[in-house]
Amino acid sequence: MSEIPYTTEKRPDSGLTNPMLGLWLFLASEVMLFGSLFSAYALLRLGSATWPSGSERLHPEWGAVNTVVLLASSGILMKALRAARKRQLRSRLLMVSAAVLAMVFLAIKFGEYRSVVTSGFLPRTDIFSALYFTLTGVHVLHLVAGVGVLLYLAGPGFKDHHARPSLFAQRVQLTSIYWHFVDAVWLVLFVLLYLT
Amino acid sequence: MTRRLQSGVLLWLAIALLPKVAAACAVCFGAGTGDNPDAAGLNAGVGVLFAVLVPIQVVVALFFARVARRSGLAQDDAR
Repeated sequence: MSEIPYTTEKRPDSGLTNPMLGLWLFLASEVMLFGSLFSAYALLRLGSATWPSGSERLHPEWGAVNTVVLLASSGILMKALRAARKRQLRSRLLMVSAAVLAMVFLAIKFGEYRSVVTSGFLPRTDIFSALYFTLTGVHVLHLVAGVGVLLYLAGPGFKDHHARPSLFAQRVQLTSIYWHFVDAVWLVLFVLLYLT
Repeated sequence: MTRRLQSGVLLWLAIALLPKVAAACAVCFGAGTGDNPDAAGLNAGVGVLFAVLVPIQVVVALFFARVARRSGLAQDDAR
């Protein structure tokens, strides 16, 4: 059975490397997934006679901290990409730092889940709660996947930093683009759920 | 007139004479123009879905058109 080569050269027809093309197609499907969820949000929100204030029911200050944490992790990942391209060892430390920040985000998020549930708002309580847990839950799953990839790259995958540096740098780049996407989704969620 | 064309005309007449059947999608037929929040919500939902999906589909289509064009150019160069 022939394998699809993992090349780091751009194809002449697409102008992209194969992994980059795969990532963009994947992100297109992700946009459609979140687009359908945002569509459901618009449908249910405008279809409701009353809508609770997210700033009263949730913790906007925790959401704001999480926004800063995610933006910081994105910035650190950009530094990690630059370091990986220059074949610097600190790219590993930077990726671990980004993963740690993502874990901080998750810890704050689960703290908020706990607080919201303790206040008596379960996913079945009303439409706002159902949307809140669904939208943020799907986002959290994406974040967990991203943390897994970051830890792999900083752990077992780091051997390619020495053996195949251009391939490793490309992997960091792909992860970084995915991470920025997850970051952007959070910004939309923060505005929709906490500020409106 | 071919049988296929006849069937098409008959189907069109049936739809034209039975507007309630043709207007199965309330949102597409302007039900959200009043004060009904359900219809307004449906309109907004469909609007958001279109706003997200259509640009993505257009970008994907343009990308593959570009790939096809560049692929053709590369083959011409090879000859």
